[in-house]
Amino acid sequence: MNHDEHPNDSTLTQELRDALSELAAPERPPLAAITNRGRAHQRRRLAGFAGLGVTGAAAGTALALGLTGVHGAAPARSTGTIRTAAPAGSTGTIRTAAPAGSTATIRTAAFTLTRNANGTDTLTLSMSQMLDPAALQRALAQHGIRALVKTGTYCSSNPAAPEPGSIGVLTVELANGTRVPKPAPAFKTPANFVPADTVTVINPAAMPSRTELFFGYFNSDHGLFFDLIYTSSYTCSNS
Amino acid sequence: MSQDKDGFAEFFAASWDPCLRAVAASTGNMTMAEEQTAEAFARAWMSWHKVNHHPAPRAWVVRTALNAGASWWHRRCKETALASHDIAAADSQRTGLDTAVLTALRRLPARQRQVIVLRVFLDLDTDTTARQLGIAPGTVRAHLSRAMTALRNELAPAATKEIER
Repeated sequence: MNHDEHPNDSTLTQELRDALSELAAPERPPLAAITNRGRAHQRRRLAGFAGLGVTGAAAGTALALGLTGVHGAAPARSTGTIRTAAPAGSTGTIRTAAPAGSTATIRTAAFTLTRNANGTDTLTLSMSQMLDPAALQRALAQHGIRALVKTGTYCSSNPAAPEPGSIGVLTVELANGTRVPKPAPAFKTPANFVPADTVTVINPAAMPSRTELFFGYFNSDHGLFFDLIYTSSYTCSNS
Repeated sequence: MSQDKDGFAEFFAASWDPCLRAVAASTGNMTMAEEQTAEAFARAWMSWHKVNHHPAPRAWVVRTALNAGASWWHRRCKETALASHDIAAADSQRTGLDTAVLTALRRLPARQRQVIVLRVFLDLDTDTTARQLGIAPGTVRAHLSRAMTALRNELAPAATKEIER
């Protein structure tokens, strides 16, 4: 406390600190319990998107935008195709048959992004292909989803933004459309890992202002991890 | 432990208890606080090279723990606690979370409570607290002043009664 305090504040401050020190707190868990939990998070990051299948997201493919990823060589099929140079660092080429801002389905070898009738978007990944993060980020932007997609790194804000799963920004569903059961608290599982064989439904309308979705892609295991970050305040790390 | 995790064990050993107490005092549920704090330390371990250089690593952990309270498992714990009020009350009594001062603390608006946690429990200075909360230092002082006033007013009747006995 400092000189700003009320004359009685020091007594009150001490009372607060005494109450805190008198709490019957449980013993510190073993360090290994914490590090194992951290490693489990990291494993889930790496394994997150393994085996994702394309499901109902294919519904709007008649309107498809062809957006080829790193291995992509999808031919330009329609007249009026707009070719957009990929940004530096990207190996993908955008081929679009719709104007910028279109919410038609975007399909690449590695992922499909479809706008649903209720305003949400469904993202599915094909683990048979490497994901081009820049292509996914552009596709999400095309659908009006503020997102940062990076390879081999994890970005977070401090203070942390709300958990995207808990505020309805992002939900994970099984291929048959049912919600992935939430594990019991005893499993200590964070909500921001996408299990295999699931599709991800994104609700951009639920994103708080000044936030964006972060997706971290890990080349070695084709894993994807997500979180919500504050656009103007986040850091990225490789640990 | 890998090279870039050096120092985490010492930080964890020294910081677990104060961080857990701060989270518990703020949430009023020791069981939930333990879970949230463990989750926050796991995240700190994952991002240790960043947290290690944070100006207030304990504040990072406490903030992360409290923010984690918004996640699904926290909501579920809360629902469970609400459905089992007697169990929650027993937890509160057993752990000492039901003292007048901590009960009064939890009645404060969230921002005032956060300022108390950071300024009083974690002993951060005003500027660091302001950076942690993303508000101006003057706003921190204002919240602290209002919080202390509210606590004094809340606790004064009890103190007066003690004197009168």
